[in-house]
Amino acid sequence: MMPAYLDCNATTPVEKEVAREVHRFLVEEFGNPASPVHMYGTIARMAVEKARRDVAALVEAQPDEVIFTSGATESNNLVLLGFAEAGLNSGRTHIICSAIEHKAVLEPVESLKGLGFKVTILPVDENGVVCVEALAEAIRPETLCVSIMHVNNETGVVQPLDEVVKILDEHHAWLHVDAAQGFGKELELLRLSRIDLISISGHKIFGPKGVGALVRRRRDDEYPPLKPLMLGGGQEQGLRPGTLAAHSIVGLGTAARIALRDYDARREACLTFKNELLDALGSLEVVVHGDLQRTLPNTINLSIPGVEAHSALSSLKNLIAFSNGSACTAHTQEPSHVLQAMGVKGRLLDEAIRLSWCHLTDKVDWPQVCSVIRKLRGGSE
Amino acid sequence: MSVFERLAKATLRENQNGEIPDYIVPHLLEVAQHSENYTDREWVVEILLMQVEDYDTYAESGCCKTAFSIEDIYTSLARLGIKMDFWA
Repeated sequence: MMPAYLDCNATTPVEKEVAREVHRFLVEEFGNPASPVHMYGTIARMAVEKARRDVAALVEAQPDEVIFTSGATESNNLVLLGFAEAGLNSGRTHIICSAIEHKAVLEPVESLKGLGFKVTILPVDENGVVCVEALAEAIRPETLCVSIMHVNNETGVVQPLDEVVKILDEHHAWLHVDAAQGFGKELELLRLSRIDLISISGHKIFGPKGVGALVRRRRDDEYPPLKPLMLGGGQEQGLRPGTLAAHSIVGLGTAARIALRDYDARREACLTFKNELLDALGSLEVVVHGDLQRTLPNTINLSIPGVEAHSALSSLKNLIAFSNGSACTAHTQEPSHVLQAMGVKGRLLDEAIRLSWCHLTDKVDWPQVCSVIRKLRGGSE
Repeated sequence: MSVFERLAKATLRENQNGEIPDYIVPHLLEVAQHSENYTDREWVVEILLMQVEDYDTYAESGCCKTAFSIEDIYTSLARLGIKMDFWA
């Protein structure tokens, strides 16, 4: 029997409805959406346009503001590197991001330094929340872009984008939000129209891997001045050339549509699971990282005093599948840059694990999990 | 509300207040009012609904096609097995 899957922030299972539509457009409706001169291409194009509307609806954007990409990493790179020319030409060469961004933001930002950009990294507090006061102090006339994530992938903490928007109200800096973890799971913040750019991933919302989107809202009737990272074909308004992966895009659109339709039911299921988890682990005196009042109902990051993460992973592998941090960095032995930014130190860093679940997660035998953990601590069952 | 109910509402609304021409309305309502014939192709009906909601007589003009034309609607209706005499 497979262990219960508690690593939904790494990737989610695919919804059956999504898989059915992906299969349809992979096998039966295989036309190229860029060839709408016959029925095969026309149907594929229409399905892509439907997906564009479904993605746009979730964040209340216009359909032509959605650019399909291979995922949030590509979208993040397209924003940050795609801004470089506009920044250099205008003399606005200051970038702001937070210390807890995903590497798909931090590394492109780091590379911009080589082009002469100045970078300000915003701190977070002990609850994992970006310090908006620091943003107010850091913003300056030559700030080109502010990039702050929607929901942190390791802690599940929802960031105060409403406060960020207020600070930027009188400033012309572009606001980019990496919403890989929060798109479809928290609706209100991404609908703030002051957010200019939103990075989206398909496989975090029960869609396929290898597909995502960048939402680029118009401001004063103009798009943010991005340059493409690749050339050749002109698809996606010239920003992302290459034949559209219609089957994956349809999968993303279907996943977005279901996310809206089942929003309340999914949240409720996740909250019920969270309460069961907290009840079960409460007796183990775990240390939770991140303000539970601000986290999505599907994520918890905690340290089990006396049990190193790698021991927990190994000993619990037949009961629950989880991770000791971001999927992109969990294979390295480096301590989490997110937890370090929150001030977590010493053994607690080595003992930190991330549990993330969804409405499809199987029941967990929590008494058995607790029993294994107590054994690891050397205590009696 | 099912996609068929939404299609019926959108068809009547866009015909009365928008640009959906009279001659296509019976064909759209044929789909909307006989859901039992199209349950296996609901995904095409979803596309049809989108086309009705974003129909534009001049969708083919201009450099960026962001709306849908009567040709697009014909294609979807054909996928549902509905062929119009003048289109044969």
